[in-house]
Amino acid sequence: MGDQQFFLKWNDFQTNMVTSFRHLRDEKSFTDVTLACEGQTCKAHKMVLSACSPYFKSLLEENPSKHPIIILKDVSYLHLQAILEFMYAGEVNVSQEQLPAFLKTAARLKVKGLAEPPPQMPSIKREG
Amino acid sequence: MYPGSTFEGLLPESQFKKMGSSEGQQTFCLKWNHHKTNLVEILEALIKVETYVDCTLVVDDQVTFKAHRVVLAANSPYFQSILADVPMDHCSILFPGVKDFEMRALLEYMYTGEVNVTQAQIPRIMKVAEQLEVKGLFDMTELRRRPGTSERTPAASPPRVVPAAPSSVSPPAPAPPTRWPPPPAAPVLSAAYESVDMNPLKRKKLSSMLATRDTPILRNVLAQSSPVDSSQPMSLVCHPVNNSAPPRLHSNGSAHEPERPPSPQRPFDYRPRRLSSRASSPHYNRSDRSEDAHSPYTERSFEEDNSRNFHPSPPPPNFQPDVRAGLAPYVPPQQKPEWKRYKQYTRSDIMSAIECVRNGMSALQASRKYGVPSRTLYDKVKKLGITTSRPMSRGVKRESNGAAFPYGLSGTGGNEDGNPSTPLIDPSFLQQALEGATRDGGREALHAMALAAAAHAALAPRSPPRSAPHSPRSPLPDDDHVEDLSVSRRHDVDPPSGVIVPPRNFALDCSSERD
Repeated sequence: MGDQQFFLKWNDFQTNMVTSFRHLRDEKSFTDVTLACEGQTCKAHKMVLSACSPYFKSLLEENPSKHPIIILKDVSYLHLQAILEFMYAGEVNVSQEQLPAFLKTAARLKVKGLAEPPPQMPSIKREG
Repeated sequence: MYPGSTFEGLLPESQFKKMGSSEGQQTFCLKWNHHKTNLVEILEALIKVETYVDCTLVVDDQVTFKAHRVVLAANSPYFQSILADVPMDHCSILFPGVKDFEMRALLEYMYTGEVNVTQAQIPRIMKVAEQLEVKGLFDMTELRRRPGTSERTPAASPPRVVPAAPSSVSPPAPAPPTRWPPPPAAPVLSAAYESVDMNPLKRKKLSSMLATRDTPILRNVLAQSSPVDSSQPMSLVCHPVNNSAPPRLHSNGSAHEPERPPSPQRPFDYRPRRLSSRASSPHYNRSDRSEDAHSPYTERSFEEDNSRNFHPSPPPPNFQPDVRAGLAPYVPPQQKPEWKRYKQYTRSDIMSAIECVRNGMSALQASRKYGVPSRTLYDKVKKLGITTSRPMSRGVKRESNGAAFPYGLSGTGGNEDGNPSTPLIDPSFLQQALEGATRDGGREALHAMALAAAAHAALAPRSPPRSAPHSPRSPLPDDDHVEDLSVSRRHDVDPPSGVIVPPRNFALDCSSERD
């Protein structure tokens, strides 16, 4: 009789994870990687980067370091921020004129959902 | 006693100065003139053996370079800001998209201030340099657009990308090396550091460090003879690459370094160079010579400096071979005329002029007669201790306390062959050395004493008694600069109560000369 399993599910799990990660990033808590481009830096979590980009995943796997600093070439800081926003929140606002360059950068960094043709394309909505 | 002799390893290039003696405590400025040189050299040596490195730079293909964060930060405001908030013990910096030759070149540039690259590599290297804001290689305007980044750092004085920037690189035709901007003060600056004789202990240590390992870093010394003038720290001098030339480390240096074992693959060239970084220090600017306290070199005449730095005569034998190799060869031959014009007299001219002064002619007359710059003549005559017919100024009395010691010891008293056996030395110097030796028994002091004894013997017949170390200087308008070196004893009414107690003969000198 002790074999009976119970299924415990937290319905808000994903929401919570997303908001928590976002919160951690805003607080710069537990950040363990620094991304730098155009002379500016931002901190992030290896886990999130690896989860969202095979490029970062292999980069970080190849260089195991407590707190690596990744200096990105030919990446605009604006785009980097937008990409991080996308990684952490799953959505981001990009102006139309920036969109091609942004997508190009995202493709170079192999950001999942932006670079490779994903199962379901991210919906690009026009706002404002 | 010359207080510098208290510290082994500081002589002879150290200075010891009294600063602003007020009524109460007197403060002393202990200054080691080769401090900057040493720092640069040590950093180069340290990176070579990867000692104390605290970051790893990873570029494409998993090529890694070790480096010192402090050097990266010192050479790039970008690194400075990045590394500021990474308190890690050892951090990795990943540069995806950067090739290893680019990073290698930049590292060598950051550690030595110069690097040899091929023309084809220049655009890429410059691009990375610009991205990383490597001082001297990236455009200053880039920085101004971001206020508050690097203009606060004093060293960021005009970093420049010279004519050799990617767009304007001249074709591999043998073009004369570009130097930019033409540095009028450069000879003075380098002369200040010319006597690179480190204390034996350090020298040995350094050379052994240099001999030990050949790290993969910068192994491809891209063989190009570029007579880079390193006295302008912020300027990049690029030369067209002659690819047919056999790989060499430095074109001019090869003839001057027979002692060095052939090591064609040395990643860095560790010869102490003609010392780039110091030129950026405003202290050594000629215009500063009126502020005496910090510029001990300013007493030397410009002409003299030039003649000693750019004259092709062999360096003094007390120079270490590899040190010697690093000095003169870096001057491109094309510059010769520019420096030469400062010295248009020969050694016999100056000797004749000195002889005339000794025989009673005024220094000014003698200088005119033989076409020797009067200031040079004054210096030399003064160091010989010859009395001239000129009235002596009050400030001159300070000469006897041995303030000119460093010059005397290094044998650079203006004679161009730099032979230490005939330095133009005031006999008082011998006493200083003796004093230092007996007080401390320091090795340097003993060494100095030996030199002094030789010098003294050489000069003995014509040396005046110690009580008359008169300077033949005339009241030139720029007289004050000549007095710079002699270092502020004029207020020494009381024996200094500062850090170091003056020796008795110094005190005696003061009192006797005050009368």
